[in-house]
Amino acid sequence: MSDDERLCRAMDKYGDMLFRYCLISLRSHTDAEDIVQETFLTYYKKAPKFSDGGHEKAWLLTVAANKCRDVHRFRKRHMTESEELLNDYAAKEEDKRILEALLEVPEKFRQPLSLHYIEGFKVSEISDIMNISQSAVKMRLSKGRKLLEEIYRKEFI
Amino acid sequence: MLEKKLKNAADKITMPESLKIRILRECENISAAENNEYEDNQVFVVEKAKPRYIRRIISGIAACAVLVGGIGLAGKSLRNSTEHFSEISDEEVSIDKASDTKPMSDAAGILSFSGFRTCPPYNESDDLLDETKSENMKNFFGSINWEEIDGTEYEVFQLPKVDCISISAPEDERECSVTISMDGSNIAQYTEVSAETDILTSKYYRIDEDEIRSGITTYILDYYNMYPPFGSIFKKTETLYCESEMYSGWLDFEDITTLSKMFLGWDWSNEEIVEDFLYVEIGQQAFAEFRSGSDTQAEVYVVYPDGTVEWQKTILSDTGGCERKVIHRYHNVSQEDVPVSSLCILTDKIISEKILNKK
Repeated sequence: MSDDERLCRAMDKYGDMLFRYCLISLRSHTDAEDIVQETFLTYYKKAPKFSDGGHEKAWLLTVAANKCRDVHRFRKRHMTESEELLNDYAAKEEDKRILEALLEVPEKFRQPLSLHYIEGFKVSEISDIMNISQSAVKMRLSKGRKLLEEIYRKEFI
Repeated sequence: MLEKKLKNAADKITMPESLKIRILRECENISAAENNEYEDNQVFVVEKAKPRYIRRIISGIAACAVLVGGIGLAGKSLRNSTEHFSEISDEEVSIDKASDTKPMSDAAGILSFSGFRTCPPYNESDDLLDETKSENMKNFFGSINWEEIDGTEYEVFQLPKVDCISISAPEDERECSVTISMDGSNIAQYTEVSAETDILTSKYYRIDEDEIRSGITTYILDYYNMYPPFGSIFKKTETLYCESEMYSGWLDFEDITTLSKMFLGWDWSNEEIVEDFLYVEIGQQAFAEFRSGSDTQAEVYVVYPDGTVEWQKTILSDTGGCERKVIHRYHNVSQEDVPVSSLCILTDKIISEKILNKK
């Protein structure tokens, strides 16, 4: 398989996941698109041979997560309001509400929630991606779930 | 319920097609640019890059403290490791002798100290020594006995499997360094790079590890003695993030010092090294954890209610993935009359201040 074919296959398979993760993490269309682009360019230039699809998926997410972390650190752009952010994606009001609630959860809890419940990563994989211990992942998932529920019930029910 | 709702809603977020097209175009530009550069500048790029890259490769092998048995094996090892640079002849690799001065005693500038997978307190540390400590170490090296040996009779050692320390002189133009075994082998390898020829030279010595250990204890260890027998997480320059049910937040220098002193008093003798791929969870929720990190590595201490403490160090690859994890697990950590749960209490800043005031 050529590099271009490999890239196309990776974008088809993981593009939605990466964009979704970056959008939720950064709360900005522009930033999310930039990070996804940079991640795939890194993949094109540097990606190793992967033993399996799971490894490739985790590799891409880790690169994107690190780049998102840099954006958070040096943020200059104003974040988009969550309502405006989700206009293109959440046709149903119910979908919009739960996503808006997620976007209100602080980033350190939002990230593991997104990785586990939306993208399906295991605790051990999230530990590697976020560079925290598995215990911390569990703590953050537990607290994150509580916060999400509180925000959702408070704002939308 | 809520999680399923979240998943269903989030699955509707997809990557814009315009972004895919943009990425493909960008990659085409990269390929085209690389091809053009190669065709136009091939000879120039190779000739310009080769000498410096070779030097870094060779220095890198030495700096990583590969103790090789003998000059012959050293040459073979270098040839194997630098297979892309087969233009180097055997003569270029194996000539010249290093100076007869005792190793590191005449090094310029401050020294750097590194410990590799060795017994506490040198674990995987990497520090620049101040001027006083550096001068003391140079004088110390000048005062001890270095018996030059052939080296061919010894086995090949390679990090991180061997316990050793390394002292280098980053400000010395010779890029000199000495790597000393700490596992009973009593061997030292001294290397320096010739400023004229750019060639690495090595010498091997028989030394007394106890004597070396004594010197390090006297001139450097007061710094390390402040900290627990693993990691660099409690260094003065590090910040520490605490996560527990009671408290989540950054710890200040005073808290870190208190934690550090507390850690020092515990019994760390029951150590288990856990291979990353054989990691098995403890099976209980952590009471607290303390985290420090940079862009390239992260260290975490996890404290469990039953007195188990884990030190986890994750090293990131250049592209951001997890390259390697080191996990040390310490069982039944305790102090004579103080339970390990008091360590957890320190995560609450208010309570820890009260404990200090009472003392």
